Amino acid sequence: MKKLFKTHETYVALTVIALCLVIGIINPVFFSAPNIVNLFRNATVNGIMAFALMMGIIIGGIDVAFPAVAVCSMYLTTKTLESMGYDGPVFIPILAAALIGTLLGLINGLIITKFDLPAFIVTLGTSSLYHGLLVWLVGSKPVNRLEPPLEAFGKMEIFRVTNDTTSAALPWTFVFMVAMALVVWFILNKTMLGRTIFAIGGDRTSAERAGYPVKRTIVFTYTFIGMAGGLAGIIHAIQSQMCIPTDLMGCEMMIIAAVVLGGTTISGGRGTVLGTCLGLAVITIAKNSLILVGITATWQRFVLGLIIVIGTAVSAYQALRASRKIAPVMTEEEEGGVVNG
Amino acid sequence: MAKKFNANDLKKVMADDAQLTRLFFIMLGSFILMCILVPDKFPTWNNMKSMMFQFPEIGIFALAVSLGMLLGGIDLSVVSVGNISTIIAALLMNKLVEGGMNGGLAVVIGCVVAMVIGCICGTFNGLLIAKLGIPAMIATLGAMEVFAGLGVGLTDGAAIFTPEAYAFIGAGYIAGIPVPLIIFLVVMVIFTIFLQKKTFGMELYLVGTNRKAARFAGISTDMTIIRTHMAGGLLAAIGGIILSSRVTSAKASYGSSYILQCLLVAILGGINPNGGFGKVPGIVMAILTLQFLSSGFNMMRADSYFKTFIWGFVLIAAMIINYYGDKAAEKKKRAAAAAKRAAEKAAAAAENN
Repeated sequence: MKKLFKTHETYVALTVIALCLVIGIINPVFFSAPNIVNLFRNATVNGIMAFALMMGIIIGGIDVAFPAVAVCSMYLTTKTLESMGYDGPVFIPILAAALIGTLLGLINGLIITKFDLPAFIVTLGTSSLYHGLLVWLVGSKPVNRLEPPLEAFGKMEIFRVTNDTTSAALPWTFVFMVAMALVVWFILNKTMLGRTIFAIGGDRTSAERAGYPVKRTIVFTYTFIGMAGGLAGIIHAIQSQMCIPTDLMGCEMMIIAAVVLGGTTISGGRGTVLGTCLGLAVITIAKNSLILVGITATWQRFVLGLIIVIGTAVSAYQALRASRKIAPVMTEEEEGGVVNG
Repeated sequence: MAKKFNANDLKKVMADDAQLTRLFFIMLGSFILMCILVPDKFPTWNNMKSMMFQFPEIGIFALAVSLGMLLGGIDLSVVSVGNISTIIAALLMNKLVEGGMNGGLAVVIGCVVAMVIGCICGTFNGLLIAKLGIPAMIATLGAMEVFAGLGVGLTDGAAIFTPEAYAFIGAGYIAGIPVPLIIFLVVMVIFTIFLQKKTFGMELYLVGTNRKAARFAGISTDMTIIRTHMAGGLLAAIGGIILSSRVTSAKASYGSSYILQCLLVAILGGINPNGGFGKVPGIVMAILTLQFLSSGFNMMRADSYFKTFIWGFVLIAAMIINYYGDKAAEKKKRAAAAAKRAAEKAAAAAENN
């Protein structure tokens, strides 16, 4: 029980509950079933990207290129399908988008490791490189109507809830987010790869000396984020039933915020799937429900910014306090104060 | 004899600052390239004049980003700090002018207010980073949302037009020299002095190189971080003033593409993103290079997305070139050290004999 109160996840969970209660008391519409289903629907695309990005942050890096990767994948895929009048199974375009993402992510990873460059600046560069190249060469004309297989897949519902005023459905695309969360959880907790990622994030030099394949793992992580970006892109297109090549650009801020709010330390080495779920919940609720409590659209960005600053401040301050605590504890141990744990 | 000595001297300077030398040739190269590609429009007095009005604002924003990078962090909030400072200043100036105040005086008050707000925003960033321990990138990214959101909230996202007298800063001349260029030069000279000759600069570089060592050397690292970000906020406000006065309005969404260009200027200018290394002359040469390319592309009517692509490409290429440059320099240094050791050994051996 005591341990439960020490974890960061508990605080984030309390924040989520508090946020829900405040919004729900001011405007009971928040607790209506369609609204809640809509929140889950809206979290799908961001969630796919957030879980993958979390791995990048745990390893001690960062990626801001995944929105551009997502746009490249969805636009290239939907544009190609449109020109060939595609009518095959739906998994092929999804696979193709993920493949494009994988390739672009691999390029990021290779540049970062080969030349030992800061990930933030590299991905910022490749972000504008990818997006600029895409719109310059392919154009910016939106794909207004997806091909029938994708359109049909977007309309497939897991279930639908209806009350007297509105109705909302959870689409099958939601499954992709759940799958991504499970895959990331599995990699981080059940595989050697996951241990390597945590080891590199904790202390890269030590990981290198201990014989972990550091560079290979970093390349894998950025490739994985690229793959998730590609997947998120095509899912976004399927959910919105169209493809605009300027959509999603600039969403990296929210995703990073979700991951960091969830307790993943930005300097690496710590982070959980559960935490990211909760961080994602905070961001999704704040983004979609501020309007319900009467905060107008013009002030939304300010309030979101405040939530991000306060959230990251709390988690950073805890880490800072913890690191200051370690020093005296260690001297005590040296004096022979600790006998049995 | 004297002539030979000079040549050697130049060679030594070039070897000492291989990066600046390289950058100088890149700048010259991009200028010549554009002269060849657009010979009828690029090398004209008119173009030179318009470039002198364009590059100062990004140059100053880039210097603000660079200050953060010298600390080993980064400052991503510069453009939004510039916008929020000028939005509040513009609202205030309009009120003052409506109240019957002399336009010139109102502009002076407005500029002072903008700079004070810039300092406050910078201090806010510094406090988040130093006192709460938020990594600079996340802190300034969050602060960017707060400041930009405040700007949108105050203005409903619309542009606030500025008084007539304000336009002088962005479009006027003093003794035939564009005012933005004068501001740019003054800022660069002041910061060169502060970074290279004053204690503040010394402390800044030390904290950027090794925060722990700096603390053990008796430097108040927290104070250095806060002060540096305050200076960054001030610079951001100055950049914002030039920007808003050039377009005679203030708006929360101005300069949204600047942050990539600022980073590009800083990296190209030889600021080490891991902190501790980089000089103002590098930034000046880098911003000129960027301006030559940008103006040239505009004259060729290049697609704006082509420019986005090129900036990304140049950013990556510059870092890769720096990587190989550093590697070569290190190799040279090692070879020199080995040669010196060998010579010493030989001398010692000769002495023994």
